[in-house]
Amino acid sequence: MNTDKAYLLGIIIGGGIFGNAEDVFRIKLPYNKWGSYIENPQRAGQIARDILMKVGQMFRAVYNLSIQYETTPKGTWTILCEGDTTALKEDFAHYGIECEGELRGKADITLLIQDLVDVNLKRRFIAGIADTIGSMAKTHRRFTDEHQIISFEIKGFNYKFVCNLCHLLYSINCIPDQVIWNHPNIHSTKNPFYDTWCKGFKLRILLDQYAQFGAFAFRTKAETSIENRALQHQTHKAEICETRSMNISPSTIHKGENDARLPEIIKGGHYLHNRHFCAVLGCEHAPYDKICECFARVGEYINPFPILCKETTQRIEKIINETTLYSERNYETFNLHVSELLSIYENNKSTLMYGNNNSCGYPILEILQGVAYVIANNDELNGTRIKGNYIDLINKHILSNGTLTVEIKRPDLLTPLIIKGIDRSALVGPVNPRVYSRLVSFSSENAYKMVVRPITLEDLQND
Amino acid sequence: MIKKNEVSYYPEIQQFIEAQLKSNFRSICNRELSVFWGIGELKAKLNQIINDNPEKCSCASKFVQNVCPLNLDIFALVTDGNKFQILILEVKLMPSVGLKEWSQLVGYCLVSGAKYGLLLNINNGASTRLSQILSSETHLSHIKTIVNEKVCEHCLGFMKWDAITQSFEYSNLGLIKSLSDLSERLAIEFSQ
Repeated sequence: MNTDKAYLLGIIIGGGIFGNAEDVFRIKLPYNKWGSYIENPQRAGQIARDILMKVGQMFRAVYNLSIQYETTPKGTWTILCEGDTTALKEDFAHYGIECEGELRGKADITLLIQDLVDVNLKRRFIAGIADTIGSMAKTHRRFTDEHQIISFEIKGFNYKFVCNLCHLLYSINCIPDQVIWNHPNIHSTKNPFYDTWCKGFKLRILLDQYAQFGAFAFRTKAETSIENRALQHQTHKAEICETRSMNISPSTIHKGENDARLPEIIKGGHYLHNRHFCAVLGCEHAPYDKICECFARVGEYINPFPILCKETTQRIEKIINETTLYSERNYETFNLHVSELLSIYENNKSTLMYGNNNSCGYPILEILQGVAYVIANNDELNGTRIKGNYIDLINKHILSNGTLTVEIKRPDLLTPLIIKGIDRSALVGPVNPRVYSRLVSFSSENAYKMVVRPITLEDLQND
Repeated sequence: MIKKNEVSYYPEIQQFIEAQLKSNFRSICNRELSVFWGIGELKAKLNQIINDNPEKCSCASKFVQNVCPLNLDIFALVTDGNKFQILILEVKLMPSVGLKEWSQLVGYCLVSGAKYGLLLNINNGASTRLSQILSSETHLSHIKTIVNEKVCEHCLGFMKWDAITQSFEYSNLGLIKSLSDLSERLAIEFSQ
């Protein structure tokens, strides 16, 4: 290992794709939008220069490989590396990494990391990864421009790779701000019927933190880092994982929790928070005590029903018909004035409607989001998402029609409430912590791995 | 924006080179390398370095006795405590460096007896003519002389310092193609 190889191995791990050809491989740089020559021709020119002068010259100096590049209008860049790749493949083989297919998706970098014997070597390796998959698109900011982020975007289900990378960053004092795991409990917290939850991992780091401890070799990346940091009014320090506060929002039990692509250690579990994954994966920085505290109130944090499911009326009907617990209910159908619902919300935003007691029922917040989706005009939606604030949308519709109503179907037990429209409908699951806490058990192999069984009719009847 | 002169870039360049040499040596030889920097007159500064760090640098004492006084941009005494080498950096801040600047580095290395020399241009590359010469005339970056019946070797290279990324852009011009290449040569020599 040396500092130049560390960078090159980083860039290949980040974007390398190997095919059948012995003397060529590709490195994909997913610079979507940011790297598009249509969006920013000047930056695209600089990227081309970085590829030829930084990556190309280093490949030639270290492995005697020559490179070419190609790009698409959307901003994906591909570096073609040509020549005798034997030495490079031997280096990877030394670390137990087989040069086949897309490396990032399956590579185990444990041995490679062990050979990064000091901070500088680690930084060079991380620079290679950052130059390929470290995205600084403005959308990665945390809430406002004040907290700029670099996000390492990782497709697939290589949890170990994400853990290794996170540890590596931690070891050079570059403390990650957040890991967004590729899991339905993260990507689809409200809708258990959302099948396309597989959006990949995001390892997010405050840009100030990365600028201090990380590195880039691409000038374009370094310049974007400077530009984005200039949007901040002050410099921000990262907080270590052990002491950071945790805010948990309830999440639905998703069928994807048993997806065959998930690693065994993760599969079958339900996760309350990003750092709950860290605890199950055994990270030394995971906030174990805080996770255990959450287990004491677990019934408040999980929901075996959809918290909010917004779909076409046809799809909602199909879901109900295919789910015995829903289809066998007796539903009371009535129309409610939207203005009435809004008054309830304005009076108490935490109101639970139609419950048996104070601690269960349908949250007004979710009901109103469902109502907004059902009453919205097509041009007020972005997919199933309301454009802008949903309360503003409801107010706007009430203003043009003061007697606006929605059809509600209320089940005889605490199963999802149906808000029915002509083309669009919504399911709102009840809050019912006492019943839900009974569904939870813990894995005998991992004290932090929480397993939630499906809810039954008996669970609801015996409450 | 304040315009920086080349001297203001010295610390970041020194820091980067030192970090790479040390990391690579640690990785290859599993032991520590020391890098002592000097700016200005070679003989006096070398003597000072040896006096300040006798346990690590006394291996260079005999060499210093025969060195001619010579003003340099930056040089480094690189040592593992038993063996040493001198690395000369000729740092430029100009639109492109040419044969004149290369000749300057060659001259410094020949006069001082330093084995390693790097011509560095800040944020810019080499002239087309120098690039062509160094690509085809490989002996100009790998010079062997006989001084007092002893063969001396001089290994030179050209790199561009990128002040934005705080790292080098390699040119593949000259014998020393990269810092890892330089590190490997040092590791081999110090292990013999």
